[in-house]
This record gives sequence, C-alpha cells and structure tokens, in this order.
Amino acid sequence: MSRRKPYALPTDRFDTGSGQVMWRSLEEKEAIVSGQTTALRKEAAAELPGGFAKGLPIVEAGGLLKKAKAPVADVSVDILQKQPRLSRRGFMQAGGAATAALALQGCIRRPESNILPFSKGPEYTIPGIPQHFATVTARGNDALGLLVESNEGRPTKINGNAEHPSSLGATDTRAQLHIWDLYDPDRSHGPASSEGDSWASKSWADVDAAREALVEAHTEDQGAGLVVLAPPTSSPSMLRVRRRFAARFPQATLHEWESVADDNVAAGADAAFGQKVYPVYNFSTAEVVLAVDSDFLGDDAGSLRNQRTFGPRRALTSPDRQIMNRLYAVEATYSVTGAMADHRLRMKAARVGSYLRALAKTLAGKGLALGGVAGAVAAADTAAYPSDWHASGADDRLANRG
Amino acid sequence: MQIFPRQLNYLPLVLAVAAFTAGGAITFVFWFYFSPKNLQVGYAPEQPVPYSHRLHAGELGIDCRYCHANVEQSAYSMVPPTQTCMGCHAVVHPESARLAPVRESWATGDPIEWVRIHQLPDHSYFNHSAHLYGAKAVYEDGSEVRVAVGCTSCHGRIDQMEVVAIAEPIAMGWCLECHRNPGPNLRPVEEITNMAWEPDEEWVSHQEDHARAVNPPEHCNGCHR
Repeated sequence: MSRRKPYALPTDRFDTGSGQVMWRSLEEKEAIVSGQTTALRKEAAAELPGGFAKGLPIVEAGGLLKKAKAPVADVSVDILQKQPRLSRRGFMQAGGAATAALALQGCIRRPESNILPFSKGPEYTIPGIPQHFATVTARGNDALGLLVESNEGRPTKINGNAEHPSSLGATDTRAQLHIWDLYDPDRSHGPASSEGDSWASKSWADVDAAREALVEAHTEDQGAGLVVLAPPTSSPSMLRVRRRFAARFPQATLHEWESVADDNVAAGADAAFGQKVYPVYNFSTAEVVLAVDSDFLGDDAGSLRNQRTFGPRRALTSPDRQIMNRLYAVEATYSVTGAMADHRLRMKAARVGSYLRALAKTLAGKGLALGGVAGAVAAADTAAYPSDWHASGADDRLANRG
Repeated sequence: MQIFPRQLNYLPLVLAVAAFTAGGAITFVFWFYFSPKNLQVGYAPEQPVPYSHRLHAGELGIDCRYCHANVEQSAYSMVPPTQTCMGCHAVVHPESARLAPVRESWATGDPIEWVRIHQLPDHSYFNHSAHLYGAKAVYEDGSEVRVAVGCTSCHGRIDQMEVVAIAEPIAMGWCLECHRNPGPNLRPVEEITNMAWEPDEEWVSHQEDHARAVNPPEHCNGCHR
C-alpha cells in the first residue's frame, strides 16, 4: 500500500458529511478551511462557460475507451461539448502501437514473393532506369513542350522540354500538375455516350458504328444540320483533319469554344495584320511594354516564353546587359504582370477599350499614323484617364516604336 | 486486518501460466513470422519452370547479362521477359513439357511467376550498377584498371547450381564486412560475370589500390536512405 498520504484535510476538523475532504489547489484548501467553499465553486463555475448540467454521469479516461462513472450530484458536465468515446491517452496508445507495428512491418521479409517479368518486354525499357518522353500540351492556341519522366511505364514527373521554343526547359503550374491528371480516377478510360442524365461507357467499335451511321446520314445533304463542337487547336494534324472534314461536308458547321480563350487577342491580331495569326511576342528587343489587361508573364498562353525573353532585359548585373525595359500594366485584377510592372494602373475591364482609344488619340496627336481606325478614335475622351498614362507615357512609347 | 482478498492467493499461479503462454506466443510469432526461410543460406524454392543455371550459365556458357541485361547500368537486376527465353526455345526443345509455362506465358502475355530468392528489406537500398559498373583504380606506376564486384561474391557459383539457392547471408553484417574491406572481393570489370575467376598474386598485391578506388560507404545513409 502506498505510504503517500492523500491530500486530505483532517476529517475530525472538517467534517462535511461525505468522507474525506480533498483539495486540489491552495485556493481550494483555503476556501475549505475558511468554510467558503460555495463561493469558490461559484467562481469555478463562472470560469466554465457552456451548457453545464449537474448530476450527469462523467466519462473518464480508463484504458482505451472512456468509462462512464456514476453521476456525481454537484459536478457539472458540459452537455454541449461532444464527449469523445476514445480517451486522449487511449488515442496515444493505439496510435503508438499502430506506428510501431508499421515500422516493424518494414523489417519483415515474408517468404514467397514473386517476380513477374514482362512476357513481351517493351523496347528500350531497362527496369530501374527512367525513360523520358517528349510531348506537347495545349495552351489555347499555343503549345507547351514537356518532358515526361517514366519509371517502368509509370509517369512520375513532368518537366519542361529545353529544346521546345515555348517551354525552354520550364513548365507552368498547370503542367506540373498534369501528372495527377494521369492518375485521376475520374479520368475517362474510353468513349462514352450521354444517356439521359448520365454517361454510358461505349466500346471503340460503338464509336466506329456511330460515326459510320453519321457519315451515311449526311452523305446526301453534305452535312447540312451537322454541327461539331471542338476546342481551339493549333495542332497541324487536328487542323488537317478539320480541313478534310470541311471539304467532305461543306454544309456542316464547326464551332470552336474554350471557357478561357484568346478571342480578343485573335481579333486584335486579325485587325492589325489582316489575317488569322497567333501572336508570338519577342520581348528581348522591346524597350517599353504596355500590358493592357494582359497577364503575359503569368497565366496567359506562352507566358514561359515571354518570361524567358522579358527577363534578361532586367538582369542589371549581367555583363552584357542592355538598357532596362519598362513595363506598364493596365489591369482589372492582380496578376504576376502587374506585380512585375514599373507602372501599374488599375482599371475596370469595361473601361479598357475606351482607354485604348484615348491612348491612340494621344499618340495620333503626337504624329502616329493610325490608318483605318483614326475615325473611331477621334471621339475618345482623353481627359477621363490620368494624363501620364497616355500623355507622357505616350512619349515613352513613341520614342520606342517597334 | 486482512488487506488482500483470498483470491489473490492464486495470483502466482495465474501469473506463471500467463507468462508461460505469453512467452510461448512470442516465441512462436518470432519463429514463424520473423524468421522466414528465405533469409537463410541454402533457401532454394521451387520455381514454376525448372530452369537450370548450371546448364545455361555453366555448360552452355551463356553470359549472365544475356538474360539479366543491363545489370551494370541499372539499380535492378532484371529477370528476363519471356521473350528472352523464347528467343532460343522457339527453336530449341520447342515441344518440351518442362517449358510449357514459358510457352503459355508467351502465348497469353501473362508473366511467369518466378519465386523471389534474394529479398532485401524495404528500408535498405541496393544498387546493382554501383557494384558492377566499375571504379577506376590507379596504381603507383600510373597504370589504370577498372575494378568491380563479381556476381559470385554475393550470388555464389550460380553456374554450378541446378536450382538457385541463397549462397551468402544477405544481411547487414555481411554487407558491412565487404564495405569495410572491399579489396578481396574486387576484380577487373571485364571479369564480373566470370564465375571461375581467381586473382593472381599481382592482382592481390594491388588490393589496397582497388579498395581505395571504390571507397564504399560505411555510414548508415549509404544504404538506409
């Protein structure tokens, strides 16, 4: 039996009628000795907010699971608090045992595991040495060259392809995460057709049959009423397929749609160059850059290439440095480009068009030939925008035309 | 005053029985579960195909790397695909009953389920190429030689085994013996697959040069990465 004496006050002097009088703090002892226990209990109760109720069974730690003890009349239990079934100590015990078991499992080499080599080994695959495959992923009308590392047929890492002009060895955040797409359980495993509200898996033979039926149905009317919805692409193979489709079914319509698209860029390039082109910027010769609602260093297509040509102009410690370029950013939201800009003007996206007209008007006033758009610009309200964003800025821009 | 209840008189007996049972259980668990046969020298499981290394590597003299290709390039020693077997056995003994599993694997594309003989625990890292690729040793007179560990140092005389068995205790103490004194187990890199190679006196006299060239790690992180 323990020789340690319990923290009890002598019962002959402090008899409360319920056996020994225990105390847990000096304050409590004081209170008991001076007979002011009620005041102390009130104080303690005030410290414990919540839905307390007296006379409920208390759960206490004992072994792994908490055990309910008999109700104690004057002890409050917080009934709003969810009482965990597993005690804290029990959790630590179970968790520790599980961890130890796992660690032990690593040491065990149970008999009889099998080695399963290929039946027909894939070419150029050496088990233990990763392979790298060059591939390309679409960024709207742009393409991003990638290098996929594959270990024994399982892709493990995606990096930029240093020999691809739009990657130059770098990837963007989306490309880094493409590796998860490959293991996405929701990724489609084959063709499917919509049936009611859901999708039904189909075989490739079904696809062929459906396609042949479609071709047969539209042979006579040359594709009248046939509509194809497709993502935009710059892939020569896909474009060739689309040209052949258009030649076969001249009456059919082919729509391109993407949720985030470069329609404005394409329209601008169309207006500027008179033909359907995709602009590829070279910032290595640009002295002054004006980015209007354009995140060309951040999320836009081709941003990696842009960074590689834009950045060296700012490497001030480089021995072959040129004059540092100057970046103006006009934008409606925070972007990497805006953070990089020397001058940033925040502007509602709706006003960007009228700002551009004001800028063009100022430039025209300083002698820039505007050609066909001069008439549209004439009515622009230059006073609505800070003067240094089209007046002095315009000088900067005029001095560095290109 | 009676402090202890009477039932406690049985406590020593209960304790003795419990200790005996627990001890027995622990012994059994370790004996059955933690001491697998495949860690013991001489473990030679029956394989799905009665492939004879003595015939192929010994009598026919096929180089190890004909089947275990690129073992000096890769961390793993590859067990060959069925294709490698069929390269010869489409012509040699094409009807043999003992080769039925090979032909079946070739026809169906399913792998042959070879039983693993050498198995390292998950917490140790072993790289075949590090041992076989060869390190450049420089002698006092300036001549150079590339040295590596031969197959036999760990796998024994495979060319004399009808059924492959574990030849050495593949355990940490045994690994460290060689890592501390690699000289006796090193040979010219051209001879790694030569089962019968024996060092001459000239070679033995340069053991220190060889050991210095490979300089194997002895710290924990060398293998327990």
